[in-house]
Amino acid sequence: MSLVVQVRFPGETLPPLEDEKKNTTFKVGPGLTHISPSTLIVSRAGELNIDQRKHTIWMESNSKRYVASQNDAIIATVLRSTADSYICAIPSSNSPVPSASQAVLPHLAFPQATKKTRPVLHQGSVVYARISLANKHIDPELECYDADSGKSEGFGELKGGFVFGVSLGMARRLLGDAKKTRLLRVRERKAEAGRKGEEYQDVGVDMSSGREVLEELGESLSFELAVGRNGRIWVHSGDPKTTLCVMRCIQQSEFLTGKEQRQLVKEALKALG
Amino acid sequence: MECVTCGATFRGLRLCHSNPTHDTSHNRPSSHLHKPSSLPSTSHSFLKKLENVPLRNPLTRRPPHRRPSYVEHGNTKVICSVNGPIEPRAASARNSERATVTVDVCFAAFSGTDRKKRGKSDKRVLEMQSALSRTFATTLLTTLHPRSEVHISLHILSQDGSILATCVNAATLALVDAGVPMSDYVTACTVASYTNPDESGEPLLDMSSAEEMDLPGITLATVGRSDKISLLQLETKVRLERLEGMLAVGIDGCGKIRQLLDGVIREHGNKMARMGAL
Amino acid sequence: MPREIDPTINEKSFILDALNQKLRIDGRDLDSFRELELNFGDDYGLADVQLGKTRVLARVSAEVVKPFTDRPFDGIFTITTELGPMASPAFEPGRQTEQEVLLSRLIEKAIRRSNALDTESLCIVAGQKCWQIRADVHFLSHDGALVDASCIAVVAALQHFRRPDVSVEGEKVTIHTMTERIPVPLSILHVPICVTFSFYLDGEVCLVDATLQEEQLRQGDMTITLNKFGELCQIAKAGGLAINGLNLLRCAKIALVKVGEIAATVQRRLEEDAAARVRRDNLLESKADNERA
Repeated sequence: MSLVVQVRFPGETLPPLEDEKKNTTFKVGPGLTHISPSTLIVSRAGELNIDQRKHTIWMESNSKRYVASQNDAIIATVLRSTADSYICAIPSSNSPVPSASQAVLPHLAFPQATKKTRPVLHQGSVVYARISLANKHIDPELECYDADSGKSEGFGELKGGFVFGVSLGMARRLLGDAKKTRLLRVRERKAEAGRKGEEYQDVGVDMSSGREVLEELGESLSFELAVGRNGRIWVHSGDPKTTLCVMRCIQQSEFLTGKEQRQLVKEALKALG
Repeated sequence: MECVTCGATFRGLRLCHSNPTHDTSHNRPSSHLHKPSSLPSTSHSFLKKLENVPLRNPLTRRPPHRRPSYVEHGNTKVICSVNGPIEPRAASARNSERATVTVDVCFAAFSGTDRKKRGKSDKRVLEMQSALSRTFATTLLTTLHPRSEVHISLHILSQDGSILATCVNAATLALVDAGVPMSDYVTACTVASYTNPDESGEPLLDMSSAEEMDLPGITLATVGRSDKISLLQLETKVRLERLEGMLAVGIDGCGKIRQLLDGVIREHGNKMARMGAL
Repeated sequence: MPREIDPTINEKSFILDALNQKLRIDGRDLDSFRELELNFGDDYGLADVQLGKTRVLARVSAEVVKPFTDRPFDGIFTITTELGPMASPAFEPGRQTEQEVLLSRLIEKAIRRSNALDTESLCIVAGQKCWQIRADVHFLSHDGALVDASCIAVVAALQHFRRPDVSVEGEKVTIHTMTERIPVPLSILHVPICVTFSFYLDGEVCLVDATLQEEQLRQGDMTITLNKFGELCQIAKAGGLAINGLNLLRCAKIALVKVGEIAATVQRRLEEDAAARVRRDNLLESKADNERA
């Protein structure tokens, strides 16, 4: 079995992309620097991912500091209120001490908000928001509704519960990103097997979605959960014990395979009684 | 800022000695006020001189926060003035939910046995300031004055043990007089643990500096009449079993100081009321 | 500069709710320490303490200096601490904050003022030469309980340290190298250990070894320093929530138990390290023999 995971380091020049049709343009994602006409240099260590169907190429790596990018759903903390907006902090998962970058959440960026009817948030409130504007020169802007439908779509203040941090990679995995890369890999392997004239055989590792812990927890416990791409997770349930159990399972499952995650949850549930 | 405070404190001091109408009992010979420092002794005279320095003419429109308090524990003499609630002098002292309490402790160069100026950055002074400000921050009702500062300025004129305790009492007195809202008095005293060679011995109340040199002791402050301890400091080695006895005597001592403070404050208040200054 | 943000409303109320039910976020009992990991360096006098995510490194070194004129028979012992941005981005380098002053005063009172190190034994020639022992404390990661961790680090490093042997003939002082003569350990009179208590919910709940998050929420705190013989070295309760005397004495009793446990761990690790050292030295010796043969 060939090693599918391609780990690359900064400074490496990528070989020219194998492309069926010569004239397709690729979208270059994070971790890569493009030098025209067609050289790609790795700028961040990680795993190289190429999606031949969507024509995208990017580096996948884990980190703790979050850099805002558009359309990301994040969990932010309100720092203070100004005349027309809330100033929020986007804490990174960088525990134990959170370092934060600031963002602006306009008062009117809530569903059906007007000058008179807007949700009142206090210092230290937690909001689940979408980054509507991310630019490296100005503070990012947030919004708590879907601009197309005008509905909240799950965004807004998160009341009660507990907020904790995980690594950014873990957060992405919980949001289902790993599934994308996994499907990508499965497809790649199928193609390879096809070329060699063999039948593709599924290897267990591939089937891990990286979020078995949530699937398993969700089957026996009732709780609410919000995952921000900035590595913050909000868990809410009626009972602090349940909340803590969910929190610990998620934190401990970062480096476990799908099978181990299920095992971990089973044991935790047994301890919870 | 400090000059103003200094000016106020020293005026108050002069007044205390020169004002003929002033209660002469305050000018008793110091032997009266001083505690016996010879050892071994298991009981101590427990005499304090506590007062709010009266103003020459209370009817003049003096801002209320400029009245210093003056406390003697034996030969330890501390004068304290409270400024506030005022606009915070430093941006870091601004808190949108409560008032911050800042404390300045100044050791007069002539206060000790050898003339020595203690700098502002002396770690011991910084520690004292932080202990005092944290003690009063929990007892004062700071939430009533958000975005403001209560500034306590303490000058130690003479050192003879129990300095921190004297500072606490002086600050309480000044805070009451300045009208800063507080839940109760904070009163403090020191207790030494003394052992006879035959392992018996009782704790001694109120240490002088000679006793501080030779005996382990604690400084403790309690809130009001309760036995709740808000400040406790021990800096020398002592057996754990001795702590209980020391605490018991200390809490009792703090209660006594509270009575003394209460008496002085009531007397001062009545005098003010009679003069129509309220 | 990134600043430390306060815990959110949700975290605050959740942690206090959980404490009300005697639950801690990391699943510990109210009066239990995080797992203490203590490692020593290859050189003498380097101790690395990990208490959960808090990590403190202490380095002890010695040099020969002239004693202070007012204490000619005493050696010099100094402890230096510096809170840098490595421990937490909220600390600025070079500036002494109140927190740092209090921290260094506490460690100083716990170890230096309680005479944990016998400074008289550091004298070489009265009034002329003595050893200066320096303990440098480095904070590598901050997740609460800095005082407790740094105190353990310093006492462990002091016990681990060996200074070069010295011989005095009349006025002549010879300092023998580590290979010439076996280096001598410092004379440690007792091992003080700090235990910090944090108070919540008006004194009803009292925690040992609080994490950073718990420290941010506490209403008051108290640090008790004891040695395993039951001698109090230092108590510091600087303001904060007032608690009654009985509670305070209960804390002192808990502290005594904890100090016994920690001192035992430190002792065990020191013995393990010494054993490992002997093994290594034997190995080296046998190697050298082989070469000669």
